[in-house]
Amino acid sequence: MRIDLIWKGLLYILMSFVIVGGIAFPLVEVTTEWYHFPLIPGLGEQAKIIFFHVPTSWLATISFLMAMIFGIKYLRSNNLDDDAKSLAALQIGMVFVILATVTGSLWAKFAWGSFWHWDPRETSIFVLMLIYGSLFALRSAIENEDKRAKLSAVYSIISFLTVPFFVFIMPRIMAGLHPGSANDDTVGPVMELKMNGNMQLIFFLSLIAFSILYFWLWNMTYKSIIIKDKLSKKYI
Amino acid sequence: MSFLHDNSIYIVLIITLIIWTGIFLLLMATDKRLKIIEKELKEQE
Repeated sequence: MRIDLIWKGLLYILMSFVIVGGIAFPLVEVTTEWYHFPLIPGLGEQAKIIFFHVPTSWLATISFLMAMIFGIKYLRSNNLDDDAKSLAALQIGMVFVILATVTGSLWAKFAWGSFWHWDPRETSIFVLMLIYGSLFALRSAIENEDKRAKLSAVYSIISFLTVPFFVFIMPRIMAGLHPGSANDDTVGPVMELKMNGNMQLIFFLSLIAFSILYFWLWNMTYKSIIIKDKLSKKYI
Repeated sequence: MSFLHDNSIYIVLIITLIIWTGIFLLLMATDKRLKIIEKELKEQE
């Protein structure tokens, strides 16, 4: 109970700080104060998306990894609780992947000129959404819960094999507009963005805050799935 | 007031903070409710 409160308080403070810093810290050409962000030519205020867009796509990757881990765990233990954990990770991963796509698409409208034009990054996230979307179709098509859990575990393992390719490799070896693309000579690879110390600080704090938020959501989701399963077994 | 009028990004900031606080409180409430349900189910078994 106590440890719970510490985590939640930390999350609230961190996320509030990230919101304050990410939205209100000024962009200046020559940074002098600790809270100044460097002005990146061509991006301007739009650069601030990095504090909210990158953590969401990062969490999508993490939760697909979690889905795979608990899928493997289920295959070894045959415990349906592990399947609930895997499903919870998949559901939240899907939410975060959609959030990353929508925020990215909004940003693209103003940075690149159109909401969607099949940049390598956009194409790869679209394929990834199709792959994981079909997992939910697979799950809803099977009634026997052991069979459903087994197939879903195997599918989540196989589909995670494509994640590193679609998230990390393909957008980086192809020419595109997204920061970090192969022909990107203005901004450089994602992590070497022209970030100064302050920008990096807010960015990593944002990653931490979003990760805590993710684990909290995951915890609540899998618990409610387990409770729902328990109740439906009781009354049928 | 004219400061906020000239720097309207701070209004966005305040609104976002209020929304985040609301979401956070909602999560707290849901978490608490879930714990109570879990406890009740355990007692029934």
